Amino acid sequence: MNTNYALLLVGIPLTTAFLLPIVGLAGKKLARWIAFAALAFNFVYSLGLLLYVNSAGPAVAVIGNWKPPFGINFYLSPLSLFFATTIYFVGMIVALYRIGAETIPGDEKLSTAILLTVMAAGAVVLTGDIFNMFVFLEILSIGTVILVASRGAGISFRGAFKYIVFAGIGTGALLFAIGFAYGTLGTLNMAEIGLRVTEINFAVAGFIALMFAAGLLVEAEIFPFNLWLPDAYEGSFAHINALLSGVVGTAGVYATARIFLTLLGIKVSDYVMFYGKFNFNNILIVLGVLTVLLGEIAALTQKNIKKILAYSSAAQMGIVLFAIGIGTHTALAGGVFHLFNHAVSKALLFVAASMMIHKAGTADIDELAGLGRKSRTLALLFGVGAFGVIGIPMFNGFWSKMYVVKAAVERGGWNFLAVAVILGAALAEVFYYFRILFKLFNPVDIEIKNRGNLAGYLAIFALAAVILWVGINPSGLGGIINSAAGELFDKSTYISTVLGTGVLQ
Amino acid sequence: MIDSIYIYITAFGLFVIGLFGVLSRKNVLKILVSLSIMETAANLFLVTVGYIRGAKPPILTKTVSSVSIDSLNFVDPLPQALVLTAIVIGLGTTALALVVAVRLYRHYGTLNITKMGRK
Repeated sequence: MNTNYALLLVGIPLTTAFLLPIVGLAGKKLARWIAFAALAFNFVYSLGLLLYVNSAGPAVAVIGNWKPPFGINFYLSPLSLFFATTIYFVGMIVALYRIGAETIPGDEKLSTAILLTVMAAGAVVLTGDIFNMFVFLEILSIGTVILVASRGAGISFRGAFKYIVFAGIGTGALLFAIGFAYGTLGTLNMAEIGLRVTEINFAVAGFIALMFAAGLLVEAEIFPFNLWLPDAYEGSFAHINALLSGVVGTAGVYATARIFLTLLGIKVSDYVMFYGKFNFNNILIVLGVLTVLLGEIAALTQKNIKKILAYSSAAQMGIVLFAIGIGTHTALAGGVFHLFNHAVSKALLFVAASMMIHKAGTADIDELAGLGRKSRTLALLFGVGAFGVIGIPMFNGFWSKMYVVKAAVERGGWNFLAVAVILGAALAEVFYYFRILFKLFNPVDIEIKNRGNLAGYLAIFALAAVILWVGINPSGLGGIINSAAGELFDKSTYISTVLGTGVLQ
Repeated sequence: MIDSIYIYITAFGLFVIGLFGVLSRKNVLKILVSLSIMETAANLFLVTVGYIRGAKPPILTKTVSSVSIDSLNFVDPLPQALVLTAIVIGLGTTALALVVAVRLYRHYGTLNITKMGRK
């Protein structure tokens, strides 16, 4: 199997994206079908690659025959392809939902932005070069701005503008970090930086870590870099929010894990020798716990269903970041698993919320009351997604949160406080998700303004099937998650695979 | 011949000026100008990373068969390629941000971020 064809994962959506405005002249629905087809190809192909590398071991796609560490390479491993597949899956589901939804002005251009965002997020996950990652992050943030602004309300442009400001500061910080990494080591290849990270002195390494954090945590929706979140989520369409949390957030957290663990990660036993007693990953633990606390408290106070889900999304990202910060094998398995579960469950919640908002014509949960009695299936499927995020046993979130809590208890010390935060967060989630569900089933009469669509129901059923399958049979994904966590935990395979294909062997 | 330490200091100074502008200005366009200053600072920093005092531009003027890299005395060309890419991306994001600024003005009738109400 020639793994260089993995570049099609970037090529196909990129080509399709810029053909869509032309296709849109022939028919707006046709453009939606083509966008769906491109993302479905990406999903199927990356799933095939994932199954291949899971049995045959990680592979490297070399671009333009410039061997690493000199050229740009894509790293294909259970970890990167698992998240690429998740991202393409969420993108495909949103494209499927859009097939049935009402068209808006400039509809095919929104499809272009969706394809660009999903393509860039997938490429951020797959790439093995920090500058290449920067370029794709920029495409990702351009796509996100277009997605947020596409609803055309005042709040949409406010959200888009806030995102531009945060992402703009992040870009500057990221360029400084890349400049420092290149200036000290003379390479942009992630594997070579990872191999030679101990040559950087402590002060510069700390500066690089902070600058990377400032750049990447904007996309990862981590406090204090997530202040763009409320306006952006309220301003965009609810099904577009599924992309913001399931695609943009996932890519951001993955990139953070890659930088902190593969690039700057050092074996715990070597820390004292090189860096004194300070561990960079403690930054991630503190920020993660803060995000969980503030996200859940903010979610409790909201009435707008999109904002509740948005704050809940930030809180879940905080849990994943906390797991990455702990950095043991169990914690990383929990983090990887929770990131996947969050992407799938939040996609379901946002797509279902989008359909509810379409049916009732409002996003206020008080005015949505009684909707569950009129459209029972939709409300029950929304419940499946909510149970998945809360982590009720037999649903997917339970297993991943259990892993994270177990790892935190094993690590001991003041991580027990964080355990209390995560369990308290689950309690807050129970409160606000059940509040929505009880409201939906209130015995109030509500007028259904629009009908649902078949493609949307199909999308929601597919997501619910994944949630239930993972919840009942978590060991089905166990092998992939285990090797994915192993790759983050021990970077030696990553380095030897990438540099082994190159000129320095 | 400037020592590169002064360029580094300039780059950091520009970055801090840009950050101050973003945090303190109320006008949308002034915030965008400050963001551009920050990006320029980052670009200046990146290109300085490849700077070697007294070295020549990395262009081969005549055909050479075998020559060692050190004897050519070139500056590092890679940061220059990176900066070109970063400048182009910066242009794209600035154009997009200006479009959003135009739409904000049409919607709220003001460019002052404190005067934009809810909705």
